[in-house]
Amino acid sequence: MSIQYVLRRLGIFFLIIWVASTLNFIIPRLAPGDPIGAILGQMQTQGATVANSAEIIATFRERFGLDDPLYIQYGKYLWSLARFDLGYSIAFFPAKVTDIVGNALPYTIGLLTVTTLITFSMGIFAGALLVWHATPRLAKIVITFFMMLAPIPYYLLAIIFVSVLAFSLGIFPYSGIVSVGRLPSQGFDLSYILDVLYHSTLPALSIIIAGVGGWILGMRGMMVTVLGEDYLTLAEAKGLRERRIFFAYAMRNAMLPQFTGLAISLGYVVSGATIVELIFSYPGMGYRLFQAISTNDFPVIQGITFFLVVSIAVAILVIDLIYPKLDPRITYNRR
Amino acid sequence: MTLHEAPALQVENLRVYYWTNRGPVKAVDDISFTIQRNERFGFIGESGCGKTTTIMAILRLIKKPGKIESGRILLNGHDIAAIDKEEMRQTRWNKISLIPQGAMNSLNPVMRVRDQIGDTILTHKGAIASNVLRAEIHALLDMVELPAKVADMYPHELSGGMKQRVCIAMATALEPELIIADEPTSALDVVVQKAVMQTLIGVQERLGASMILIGHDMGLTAQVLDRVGVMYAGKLVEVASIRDLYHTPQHPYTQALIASLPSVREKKRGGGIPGLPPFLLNPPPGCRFHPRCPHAFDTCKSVTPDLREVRADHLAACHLYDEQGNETWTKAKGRANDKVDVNTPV
Amino acid sequence: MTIASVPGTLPQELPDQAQPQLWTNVRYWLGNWKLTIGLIMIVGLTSFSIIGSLIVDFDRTKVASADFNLRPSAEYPLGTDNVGRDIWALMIHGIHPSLKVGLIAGVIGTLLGVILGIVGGYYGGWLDTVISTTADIFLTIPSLLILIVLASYIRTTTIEFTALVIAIFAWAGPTRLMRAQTLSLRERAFIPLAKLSGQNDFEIAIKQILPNLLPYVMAGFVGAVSGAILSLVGIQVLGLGPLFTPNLGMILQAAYLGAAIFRGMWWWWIPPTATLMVIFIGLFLISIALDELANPRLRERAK
Repeated sequence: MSIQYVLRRLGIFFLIIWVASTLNFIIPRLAPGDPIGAILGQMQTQGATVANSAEIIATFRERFGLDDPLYIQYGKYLWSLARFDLGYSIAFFPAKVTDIVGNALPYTIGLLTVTTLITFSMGIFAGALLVWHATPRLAKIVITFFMMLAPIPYYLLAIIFVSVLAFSLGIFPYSGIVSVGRLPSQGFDLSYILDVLYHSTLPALSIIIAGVGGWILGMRGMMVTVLGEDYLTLAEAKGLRERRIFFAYAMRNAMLPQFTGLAISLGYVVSGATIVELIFSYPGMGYRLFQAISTNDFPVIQGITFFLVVSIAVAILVIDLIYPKLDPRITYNRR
Repeated sequence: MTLHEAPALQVENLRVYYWTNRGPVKAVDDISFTIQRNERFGFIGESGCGKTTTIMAILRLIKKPGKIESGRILLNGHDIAAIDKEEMRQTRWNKISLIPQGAMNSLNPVMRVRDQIGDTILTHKGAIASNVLRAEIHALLDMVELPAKVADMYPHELSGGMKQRVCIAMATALEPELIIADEPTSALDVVVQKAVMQTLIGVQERLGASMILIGHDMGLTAQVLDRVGVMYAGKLVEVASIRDLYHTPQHPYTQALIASLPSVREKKRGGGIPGLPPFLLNPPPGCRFHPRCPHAFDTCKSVTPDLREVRADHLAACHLYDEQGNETWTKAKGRANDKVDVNTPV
Repeated sequence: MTIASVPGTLPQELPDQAQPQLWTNVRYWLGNWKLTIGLIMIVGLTSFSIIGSLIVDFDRTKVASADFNLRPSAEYPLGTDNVGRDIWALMIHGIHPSLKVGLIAGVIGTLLGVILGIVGGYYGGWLDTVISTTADIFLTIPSLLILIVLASYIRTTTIEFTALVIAIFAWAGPTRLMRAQTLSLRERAFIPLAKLSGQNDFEIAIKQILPNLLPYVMAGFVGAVSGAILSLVGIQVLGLGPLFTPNLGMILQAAYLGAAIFRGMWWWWIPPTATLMVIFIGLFLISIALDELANPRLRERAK
């Protein structure tokens, strides 16, 4: 892998983060007037009493450096971001944003990583099977059904699951991460882990079932193309076993473009998962985000958003660095 | 040709139709031919005449909506058109191998050369020690004059000629009895063409295999082939040795083909046969060439001619050689002459 | 039976009757079930909502216009919610604003996409790099999250404004699509030919490139609309959308906040969910049909 390629990928990585943080910087300043005043003002119209308002204002003034010219503010902002100093939460003052994020992060990362991996691998495998001639008819019907679910957003499916599976049938719990009152301090043991998994099942299922359709669709299209290629004809002429042709010749080639799609879809997955967390009161970043929205806790809103964007950028970077290993044709120089 | 053994390949009455919603397209309609051991047999004909379909049928790689309607394909006396899928899979590459037309696209882009060659060996011969396998692959590459390090490369790292040689090496891995080469040099430039063809011939002779060669370049194929079959609109119209075909073509279509070849020696008008090949959905009744044939007469329009021996070891499917046709011809010309003059229409 | 296709499967082209190309295409499209069903779904919903809005009294969507939490009845076909709004009226008046947002954002996004995509793909060079890198970045950054931040600060009040906000991200996808197609078109023979015959770049773009892009423009448009509605409902469910005009996401959000599910008020949360599903599936079917137009290999083979 050439240095050029790695540098290029890193460049895009930082570019993404920079754009996101700049947006985060600009947006509060779009609201007319003093941002802090605007924040507190809005909170007061909604009837909240702000304790410690003097301290909050003082801290934020210092932080925002509102007396400084804009570019200095911007510089300070970027500098603090680089040190992962995301500020203080208003609603939970004096809790730092990074603390709040840190608490919620493992849940979200865990949920997202697992579900994305499962969805992707199941999706491309199912999509390949769908086009393969030797797949039993019943399997094809089932796969097509899941493919039809592709356009449905995660949260709609989550709502249905909550009502049907959780509420009406009572099979799964519909909120929280553990049964009420169960704390890790009581022992981080198997039953705790099982409890977590039990509570995570429905959110995970919503994401997986709603997400798998998209991959099936994409893989199906690519498989049709690959099956028409000359090397497939030759593979069959070589008298190879069907399983070998399916995996090593067909799937191996068809799944390559899907990885690019994976990188792009991450943004969508994270967005959708956010709302799913909300519906299930799953204590991940999405849930905290919603909390922050309803309490107008702007630093937290921006902090979580920023963090999610960074996570996505990291994931994309990783995928970009892995991809050349999978596709030997990639030339690392742009034209 | 002495026939002291069973022929390598004997095709009898092969029909391959493509079923469309307007009816069957008769891509290959009742053809029969024989290939001897160690023989290089070629198919010549326009695009769409059925050459590729024929070889795909031999390998039983015809895909829907195509289907082998009827016929026997006897490989060493064994009818492979009738065996089941698994037996055919084992026959492929083991007994019949293919050198495809576009080597550019026929190699799996994500697999190294050694794995693609190794695939065939491992599938058909079972597990082999890796150093033995490696030695075999290197030997194969050596036979096509490629250095051993090619084995570790990916297809996109190779030039066109190298890729074609890899395909040749791959095709000989299991020492098949029959090698089918579908325009193996068409995609290459002229200089490389000759070299690759020589490699191919060398390999075939060393193996003692028979070969079916499809080619568009009549000049190149003429140097290489032993016998030729001329196809037109899904039918075999002439089968002869290469010399006989060039010097005394019997079928009017072949005659026109030969006549249209540019020649170094004489100046002649460039060829081309007026008209177009028929749509195979509704081929014309009788002889399929009759609408374009300068010698066509009544019988040609209604009765399909059989492929039969009109000279020693020289088959043609043309009514001009029927007794009746001959009569008509001689009557018309007033000559008791069994030779057909190319330039004189009836 | 084989798994791989024979090169040049049909030996010859089947003769077609001499029909004008347009008519053949139209007949194909009417026969394509996906397109038909998809269109029925979307057009049906839209007309249902627009016509209904003229019939059903808008006042019934207002708070406390009726008793709270009524079950469906003859007078209130979908019952009422926890603040006394007639859900049937809410739905009727709420569907077309949602679609309207999708439409506005979709049109803007596609328009920008066509312009930027053609410019980038055709001219290449640094201009292309800037455009395509920007598009990639906007595509990668989770738009919903940024929209959330935006909407938190700028509490959007009107449908039109929300549409504009969503359009900020809607252009990225179509741009990428148009650019990719323009790139491949540029290499084809007729472009240099047109240049030689004296057409200037603008004419080439309009007369040569654009007609070939039309299937992709349509596909991109449907995708943009779908994505826009997705984003819209997303921010609404979080309570950030337009508050004064009834729309589907808002109904959903109110249902969630009012714990409709747990109170068994199925008439409250099922209609918007079902309608949204119909919208998304309908748009999806249309976009698949358009994909098949663009890539004939995906069309169903003749039996």
